[in-house]
Amino acid sequence: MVARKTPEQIKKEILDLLFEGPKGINEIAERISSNWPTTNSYLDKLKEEGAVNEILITDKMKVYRRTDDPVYYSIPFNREIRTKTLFILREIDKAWKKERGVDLSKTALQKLAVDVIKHCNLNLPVLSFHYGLTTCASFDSSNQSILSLIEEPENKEEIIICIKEVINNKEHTGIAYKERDYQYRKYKMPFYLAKEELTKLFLFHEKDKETNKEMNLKIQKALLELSLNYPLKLERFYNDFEKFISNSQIILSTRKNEAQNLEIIKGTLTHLWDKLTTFTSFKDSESFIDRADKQLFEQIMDLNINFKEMTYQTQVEELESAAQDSDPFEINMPKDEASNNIQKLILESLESK
Amino acid sequence: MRYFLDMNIPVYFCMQIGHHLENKAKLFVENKKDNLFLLCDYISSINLPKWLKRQKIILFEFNQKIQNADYNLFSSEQSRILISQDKIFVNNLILIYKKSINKTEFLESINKIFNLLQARISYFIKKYVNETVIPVDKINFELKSCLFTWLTPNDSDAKTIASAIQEHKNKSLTIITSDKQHWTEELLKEVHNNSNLKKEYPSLPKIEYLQDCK
Repeated sequence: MVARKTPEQIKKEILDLLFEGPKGINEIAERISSNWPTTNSYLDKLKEEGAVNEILITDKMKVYRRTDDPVYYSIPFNREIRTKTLFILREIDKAWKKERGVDLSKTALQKLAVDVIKHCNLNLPVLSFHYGLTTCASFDSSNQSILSLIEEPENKEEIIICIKEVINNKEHTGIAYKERDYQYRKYKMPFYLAKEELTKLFLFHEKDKETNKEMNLKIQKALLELSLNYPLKLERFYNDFEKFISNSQIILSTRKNEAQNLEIIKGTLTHLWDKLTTFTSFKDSESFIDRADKQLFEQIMDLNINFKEMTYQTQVEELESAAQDSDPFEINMPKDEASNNIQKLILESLESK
Repeated sequence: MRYFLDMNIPVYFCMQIGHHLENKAKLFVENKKDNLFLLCDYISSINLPKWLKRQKIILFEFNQKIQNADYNLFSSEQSRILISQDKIFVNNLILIYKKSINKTEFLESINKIFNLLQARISYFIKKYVNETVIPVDKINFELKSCLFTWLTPNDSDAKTIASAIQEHKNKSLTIITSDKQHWTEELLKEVHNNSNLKKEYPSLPKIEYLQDCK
């Protein structure tokens, strides 16, 4: 006689299964050998307990995920990718503490893990996230429930050696901003470097709460640097980006309501950056998704990008409205010979319409 | 007086190089006084936005090439809408950039000019244009086709001039343009060689040229 599973066992089974990524009720019911109503009722209980939530709800299905899903955006990577990535993160975290005697910040942990993945040619996703390249998952050493699910990979020894080599690299300081800077230079990420510079300037401004012409010019230069390094792979968002840059430059050039407008520029950049890097993170993940999960992946991607799009639009409208308060004829076109030539070329192209 | 503006007028007005037509455009706008400026819907909602979009892509292509010499010009998806003159424009920009002594200054300037362009044009429309006339879907097809015969392949000019003639029927106006070559009294008279159109539009607008503004 088969012993009946206790409610706690069923709930644990569901949570263990959701460690593999978000799943629909039908699949969960099938995998835990239960029926739809029972599974649904346990999912409701887990939801009440805050252990799961719906990531997608359509007329035909509900897709659930663990609320402590370590994978960014709950992208449906398979179990092997998840467990290997978490294994690397856990081992780096341990090794760093042992070698350097201090805890590693979350940013630094990601940067070291990316180096391990790349250095060892491990076939694992590396995402262009909002603070640079990261693995596909975050690591929380206090989450025993997740830690207990990490399995040791077959190439464990190879990975451990690689981790040692990466940790011994003195360029790794464990300090978040230095780690970002090191990564952006190492992997030639000028767009991220330009964004980092802008963020720094905004931080200085926040500290001093003072605006001056010099700071204004520095921000304008940093915006230009960002424009010059706009990556081709983001061309579908160029219109949004250009709107952000041109409106910001106009606001900064006229220097009206400086402190308030700088906040608007900063806020718009944050939302724009979030939108761009959400897109790149999904694009970087795409080739690692199993065929069976492709549709779910697309749905999660659309959901996230549409949401970011919505929040960005609200912000950029505020920016546009601030820019429209300025008279762009108060800002002089540059007056050097090259500028004259550029304007002449614009007129020539207009005349040959 | 009601002036119907060609697309060139706001663009000349937005420049700052002392080009003779730019000076004329500024003079024309400064003397606006009680005159009304009209822009047709085709220019305002289609042709100008399309032109501005192409300018943005021109800048995108330029910036991409300057940052990465290996970049294949016009390989981006969006560059598909560029016309041959735009491509020549991008190549010319790259040439003068290469010849420039202060490259940083050049990059600052080009980005500033292109960024200001859209804002200035939008501001011009908001501040000086009194009315947008003739919705695009109300452009008389027969009239446009008649003009297009003489303006081929310039469909934009045919739509714009057709809008002017139609609006003139509603209330008298004068066209203002810098295009002495195509926007001529002779071209307008061709409309009257078509008996239907002559009946429909018995009066044709006058044309004034920016070059002749005093």
